Amino acid sequence: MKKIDKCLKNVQNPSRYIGGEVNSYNKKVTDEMVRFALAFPDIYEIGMSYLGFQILYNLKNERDDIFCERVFSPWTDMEEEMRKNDLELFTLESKTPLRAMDFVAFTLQYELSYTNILNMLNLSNLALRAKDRGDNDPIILAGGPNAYNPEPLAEIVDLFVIGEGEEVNLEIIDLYKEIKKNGYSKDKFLEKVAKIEGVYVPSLYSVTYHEDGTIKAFRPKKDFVKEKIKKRIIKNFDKSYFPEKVIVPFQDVVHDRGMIEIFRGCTKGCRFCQAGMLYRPIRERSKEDILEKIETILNNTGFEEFALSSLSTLDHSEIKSVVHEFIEKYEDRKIGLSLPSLRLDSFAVDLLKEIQKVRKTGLTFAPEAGTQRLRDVINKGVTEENLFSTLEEVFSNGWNRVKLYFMLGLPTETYEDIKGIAELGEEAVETYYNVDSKKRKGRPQITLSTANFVPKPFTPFQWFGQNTVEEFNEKHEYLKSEIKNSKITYNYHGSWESTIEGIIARGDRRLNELLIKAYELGCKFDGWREHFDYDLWLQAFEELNIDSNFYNTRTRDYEEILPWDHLDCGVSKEYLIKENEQAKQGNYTDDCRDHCTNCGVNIQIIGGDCYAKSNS
Amino acid sequence: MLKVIVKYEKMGYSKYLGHLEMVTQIERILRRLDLPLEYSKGYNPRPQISFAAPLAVGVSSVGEYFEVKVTEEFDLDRITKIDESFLPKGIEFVDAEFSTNSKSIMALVKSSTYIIYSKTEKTYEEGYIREKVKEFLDQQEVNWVKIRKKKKPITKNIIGLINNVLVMNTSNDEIIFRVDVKTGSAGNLKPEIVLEKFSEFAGINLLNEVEIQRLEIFKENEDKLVPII
Repeated sequence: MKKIDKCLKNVQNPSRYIGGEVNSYNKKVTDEMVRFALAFPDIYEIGMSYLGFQILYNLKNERDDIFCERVFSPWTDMEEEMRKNDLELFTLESKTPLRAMDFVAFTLQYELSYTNILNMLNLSNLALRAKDRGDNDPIILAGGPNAYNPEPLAEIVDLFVIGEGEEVNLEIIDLYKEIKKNGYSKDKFLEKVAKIEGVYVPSLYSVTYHEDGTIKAFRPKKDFVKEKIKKRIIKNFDKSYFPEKVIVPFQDVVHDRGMIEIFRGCTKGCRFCQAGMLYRPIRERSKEDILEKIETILNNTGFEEFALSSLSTLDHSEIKSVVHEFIEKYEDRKIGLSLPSLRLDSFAVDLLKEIQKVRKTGLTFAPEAGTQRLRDVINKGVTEENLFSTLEEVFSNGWNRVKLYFMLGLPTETYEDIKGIAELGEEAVETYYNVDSKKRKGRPQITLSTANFVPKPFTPFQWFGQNTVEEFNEKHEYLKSEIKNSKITYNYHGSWESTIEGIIARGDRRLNELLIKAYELGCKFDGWREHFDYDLWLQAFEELNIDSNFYNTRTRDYEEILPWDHLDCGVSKEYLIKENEQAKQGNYTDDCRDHCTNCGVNIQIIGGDCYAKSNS
Repeated sequence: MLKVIVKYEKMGYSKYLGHLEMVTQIERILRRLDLPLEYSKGYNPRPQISFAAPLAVGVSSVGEYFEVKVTEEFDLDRITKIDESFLPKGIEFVDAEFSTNSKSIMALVKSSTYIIYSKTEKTYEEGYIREKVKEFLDQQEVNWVKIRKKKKPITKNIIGLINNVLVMNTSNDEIIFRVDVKTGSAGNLKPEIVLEKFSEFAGINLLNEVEIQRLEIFKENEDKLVPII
């Protein structure tokens, strides 16, 4: 019996590791082929939910000279079997060990998955540090939203892709093929690849520090290496690559449905939101294109549900007719539609009513903060009137389950603001009972859910000192004590996890040692409550004599060189400073569809007007 | 009521797909074929699919069946000549026929046949193993202790659930058995239990490395056991 079968017979959910799904690729391997592994540092069910993962998979596989395969973090039972049977981590498609790949590319979606990257390298018998891997080892690449602060992984990963990967991935592979022809060495490749726009090779830069631990200078080691790494974007989004065949996953994946990104970017300008800053400018797919692609994907997969994804789906300029035509077309085929990220207004309720002709679900809204004052600080353009008139409509139309999503630990927050969350919950219940009893259904079930605010790079709050574990815990206890109604349920995230997330999110190069230490002590699957072990992290800090407060609870000043300052995401530092100051004043900044707010992305990245400008 | 019964194979790595995964996969394949499916009522309308007999994860098969309710007849080539790319690797639709039987497919099932490949520490003589099998089957009682979650274990005499055991081959440190057992609501036995009990009886460790494949599922037709379709 093969080693793989010996392992698979003894694990839960073995189909996580087998591949062969409908629309997955199985190519005949040739010597000329570039072997590329897309790696996701979490389990199959999570990784397969990311649309970007599927886009990059198909994009590369449509070329005959590339075989792009997938690999996920094996769950602990599988890891145990693999180590016992001396089986290296392998790709799903051809069951090839990662060591035999030309590239292994990790998707960075959340900080708490970083120890899994180390574990996956270790399970492949690859050295953890980039400098210890040679010409015969695969190039370790990383991209995705968290690549906007690459420094905590700068000594582990060989090269980062900053921004949208669709085009640059292929440019990297082409260069690699070119260099292979004329005698490959890793160093030669890295020096050349560093010239591609959007590519960051950390080993070509050196960092020096002040005595207080802040960065003194960040410099290229060689004069041909660019000083600033500008993010890549797809300019013509409507015509950009979108896979017609997407993999129909096994297992109970998190988002088990067809998906199309109907626009990229967001114009709202919420000050806590990293995605809203990183994915600028806004670029829409046309209605015709959306509907055509939906039809193709449905015909190629048989999905029973479809999601229109984006950062703020209801803000697509043609959303109403997209939804209308979708329902008209697919009602008979019993295909449901899901709209993530709902707004709080009557427009949203109208669309929901239409969608719910087919399927009825619970609803989630995100007021983000408990008082108007704090919502103005974070630039969340939602008023109490919006919230309650929306809820009234929702309840009058037969929904009774509503989830409201908030953050704790936002800049300028006081206990009044936290109390406001409990009050909103209370008022939501009241709103339900004020609705005509003939119209409403069941009993109200209001869930209040809080996340702990983690300041992220490239947001106006990137200088803000995060709350401590104790502060978060006190806030949870306080909010719990303020909620007295049995119709209200309260959920919150663990303060310890948010603390580690916050440390890594704004960490510098010195955290590479920390990650390796934490991994060696046994940290992995830190995003999973049953595996997260705060004490091990504390031990790692202690052994390396690193003060974690330096990274998360410390407020930075505007002059400080931040670890990600050598990257250019298009949004200027001046704009972020201005927005941070506006936040302190509680001043609202308009949606930039209405008028340009001068974030800089039009000048830095597009070299022309944004969508918002050209359409007004 | 109109249904289509489909016979399919589950080979290679697809044997690691669990039951619920198979339900979802089959549902999407059928949707993709745009067949006239009958949907369940309510907020979450779904095609109505049932499988003949559960198959353990890790067991392959060349004789699996499911049925699905449809609203009208159509060309069955759409199923039997389905494009391979519509199916997960290892799954193959081999036959299909319409049925108006109001009994569910599960209720028809009487027995199944399996091939068991069992690695042994040495190569045994075929005649010796045959003799042992004969003695094993001649017993009045083969007691098996069923371990149950949160309940007391129960002991069951399973001899009546074993229809037959044949020794196909013994060579290369392997014994190949063909096992025929009762399957379905009137009596059900997993083939690995037969192997476990025989291993115990013969005093040979047969459980070290085992591969099992289902060959066929049978129903009763005029007192004879015949394949489902």
